[in-house]
Amino acid sequence: MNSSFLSGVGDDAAVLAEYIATNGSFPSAAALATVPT
Amino acid sequence: MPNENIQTLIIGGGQAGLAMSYTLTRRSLPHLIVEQHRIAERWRSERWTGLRFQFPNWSIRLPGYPFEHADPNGFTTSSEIVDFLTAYADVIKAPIQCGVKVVALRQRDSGPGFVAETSAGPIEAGNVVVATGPYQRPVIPDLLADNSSVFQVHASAYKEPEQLPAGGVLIVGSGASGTQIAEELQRAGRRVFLSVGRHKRVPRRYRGHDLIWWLNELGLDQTPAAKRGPDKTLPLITGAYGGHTIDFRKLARQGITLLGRVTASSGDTLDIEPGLSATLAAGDKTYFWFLDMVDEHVQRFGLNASADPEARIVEGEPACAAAPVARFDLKKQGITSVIWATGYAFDFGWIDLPVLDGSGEPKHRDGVTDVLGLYFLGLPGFPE
Repeated sequence: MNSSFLSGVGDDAAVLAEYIATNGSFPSAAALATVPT
Repeated sequence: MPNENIQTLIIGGGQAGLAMSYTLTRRSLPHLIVEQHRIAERWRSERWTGLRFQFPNWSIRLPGYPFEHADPNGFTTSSEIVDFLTAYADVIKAPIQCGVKVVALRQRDSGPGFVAETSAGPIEAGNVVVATGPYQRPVIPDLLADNSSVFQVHASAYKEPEQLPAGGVLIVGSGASGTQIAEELQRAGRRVFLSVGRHKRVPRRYRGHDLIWWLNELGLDQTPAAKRGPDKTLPLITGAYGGHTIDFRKLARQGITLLGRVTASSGDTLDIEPGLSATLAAGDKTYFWFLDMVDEHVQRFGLNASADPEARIVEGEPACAAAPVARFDLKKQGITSVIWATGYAFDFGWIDLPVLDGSGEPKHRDGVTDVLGLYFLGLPGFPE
């Protein structure tokens, strides 16, 4: 049984974590500033 | 707080924010949660004392953390949910800072990412997950704004029957809160009037199993948000103190007087929308749709779930629905309290990014917005 109101939000969170891991992990502005140009 | 600079900022320390933290930690992704009050604040301060969680104990679980209970089929209290969430934050070692309110969120001036202006200073973040929940700003119609002769309170601030002055109570709104509060007050001996609007209801139990069990069995709980349809009306799934189906006709038989939707006011008199009978019938549609779906599923897969013909019995039409009142005089009916169970509105005005529609609702697909790196988590939805 994997049904649950609260674990449902966990499923949605896992989807977002996947996005963050693969699409949206920008370096910070401070970190960008250290990159030589 | 100094000008922090983190990879992912989670705004909100309720179940959504904590679940997000858990999933990021599992991927070793650094993050910070900011919570303007305390962990699970709305469970602490915006729920009435007698509220029971709407889902049976066996079904309560956060990712990586089950809810401990003695009675799997019981319905737990709000305070136990608060304890559960607080313990979860400890167990997962959530990096949370409480008492930090985000007052503005904008794109960083140069380069990608965001700046959250907070009560403790700015925080820069590459990603932001907004997990502030759907219950942000209590909505109270201004119908009785100038009426000081009755005690008025939003459902989020209702605590217990003794909070109300002696006399009759009008509850406006027939969602989960309004209906359960009506039942609680009626049991407490109050004379209760319940204004019923558009709603959907489903059975608490059917053919020997709880609704949540069936949602799982039917796969409905796995329906992604994007496929849940435009109607975000949450169904009524349980009566007061958990464990039984909401049936407005039955509530009427127990002594609660049903009214149609309140549309206007003049002094102490409220105008009531006609068509209460049709409203009740419309609310039944989801109920019988669900029974039919379960029956079909049982037949198709040969499940051992005994027939439950009583669930299909429709109570007779109560007099208050058959001959509904068109005008309701608060004074003549002895009403001393009005409880506004009229829901909540989003309050994302602090987000200075092009992700809100004309009504202030976030535009997203499964929590993902068109602004790269900005996400929403924990907004409501339910399969059609």
